[in-house]
Amino acid sequence: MPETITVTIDRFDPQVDKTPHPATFRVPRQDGMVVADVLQYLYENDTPDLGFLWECRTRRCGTCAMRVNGRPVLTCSEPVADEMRLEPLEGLPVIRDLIVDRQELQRRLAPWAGEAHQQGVRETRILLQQGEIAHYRALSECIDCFICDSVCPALAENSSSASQFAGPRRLIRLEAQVQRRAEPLPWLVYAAQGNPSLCTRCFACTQVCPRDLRPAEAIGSLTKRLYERQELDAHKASHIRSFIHSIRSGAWLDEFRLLVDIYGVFGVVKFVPQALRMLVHGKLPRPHFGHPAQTKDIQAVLRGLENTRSS
Amino acid sequence: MPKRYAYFQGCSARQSCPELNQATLAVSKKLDWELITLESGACTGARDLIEAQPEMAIAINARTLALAESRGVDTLMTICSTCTITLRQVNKLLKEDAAAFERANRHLASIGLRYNATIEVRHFLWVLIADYGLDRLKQRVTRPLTDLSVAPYYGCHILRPSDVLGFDDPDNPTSLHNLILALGGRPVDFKSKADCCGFHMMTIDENRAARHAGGLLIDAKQQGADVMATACPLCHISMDSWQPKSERVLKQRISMPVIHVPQLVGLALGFSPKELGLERHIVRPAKVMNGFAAQ
Repeated sequence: MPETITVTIDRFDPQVDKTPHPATFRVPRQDGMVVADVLQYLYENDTPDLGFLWECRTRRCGTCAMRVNGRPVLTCSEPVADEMRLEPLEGLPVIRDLIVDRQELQRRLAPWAGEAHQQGVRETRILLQQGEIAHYRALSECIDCFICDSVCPALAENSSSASQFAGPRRLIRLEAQVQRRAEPLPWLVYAAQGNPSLCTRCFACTQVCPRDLRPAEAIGSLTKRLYERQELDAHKASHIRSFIHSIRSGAWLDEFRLLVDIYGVFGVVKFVPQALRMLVHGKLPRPHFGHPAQTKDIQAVLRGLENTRSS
Repeated sequence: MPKRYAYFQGCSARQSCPELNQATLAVSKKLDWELITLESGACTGARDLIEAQPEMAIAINARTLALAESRGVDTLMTICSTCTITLRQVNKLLKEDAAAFERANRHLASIGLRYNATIEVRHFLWVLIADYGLDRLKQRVTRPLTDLSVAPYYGCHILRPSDVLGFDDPDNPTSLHNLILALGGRPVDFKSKADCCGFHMMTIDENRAARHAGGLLIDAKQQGADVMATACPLCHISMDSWQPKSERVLKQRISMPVIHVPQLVGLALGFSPKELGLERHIVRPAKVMNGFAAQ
């Protein structure tokens, strides 16, 4: 194991620099060293003007999040590597060096937090059952590190789209709110406004969450709640219903019907050029009719499922 | 003795990406794999069903897993990443949650099936690397992909979340890169290789999805790729079938051919582009079609 750690940091001062420029340092290694220790060493011994943030150093505040060798992590608990490249979180404006501006994303959280109060919404809290406590506590342990938002491809598309996605951090907090209330409104209304259907289901947020809160699954849970209350985005709801219908009636997805279900008979007209291209290349999905025996089997399984539900 | 696998082709390879099924069957035969196609299986319901009606997703996919098990194999081979994640997620639940396992088997009993949780769901790419081996594959290459620069595109559902998928490193995946090297091609590293293709937001906001997919294609092109290789037909739809839409939204010509992993393997094993269905692609892989047809 080398006695020194080589660390390259993207330095950036917006008042001087047009783009970030890498600077490399060597830091003496110590037992049990984490990345935050390296930054502290550099600040005290080498580069007192280095911009970085930390606060609790116990994985509770989320302030020290940044990318280490391309992976977004909390530096207060991230073990050092022999060679490291430190960069600010992606997808957020850089204030200086490793410090990002979280205000815009923070503002996304603030309106709904205050809105319920301003509207005089009476909150009915419910008693959680023993088995539910761990799940709720898990979701409510989001530390606002913004790591999930920083890797979210749907959130990144907001800047060039009319439709706006709230992002995993906000949606996981809404799911936590919904879980502990007998009356989930207005939280579900806020969730619907946050467009969970725009989530790409890529699981990047679940992969990187330092608290292992699985934001993608929380978005899935919100989707289920909105679908059941018929408050989900109309296209997404049709998409789900079409899948269910296809499986029930013919085992495999009927891609042709899927488009008609989502866009309507007249709505699919806009896909004619695309459909012609696919037809020419032998890729146009044809209406699909299920195999009777297979469909009978599936319907028997689903009947059993429905009987269990009703009993 | 040929290795036997239950084969789950999924919905896209039956409909809008038939060339993927065609290439998989051709390559599997060449490698002496015996594929038992689960025609009697069912759509996994993708992310829609498991989110909106999880109990239905568990029951339907438990049936597919039980059908695979009833054929006396240990692996259900998939060719779609979203099928892979969904089947693996249900399989993991059935193996770890005794109550879910019992519930699923109660439903299966009504059609005379039982699932004993012995099946592993594995993608074609994983079977090729882990079971067959890249060294052995190299020996079967009759037409190395010399001078072909291939951008390995992983996408999401073959990598993340790693506690469900677990074959490759989600931060720095290498399986496709190593496969391209074994086939004699030149892997082209590009930043977006493990990014999402945007397929699952396509019907919610087409322009958003098309812009996103176009960005990945441009990234691969700027790094000098001749073609992009993908392990998932849904990524293929996003980036090949919808590439004209990406070009319109981005107001930019992209022309990046996207080919399926089994097609890439098939080319190196000596199949003609036509035998692998390459003429079906919306963006014609001209360098592949011309270069490999002539040999």
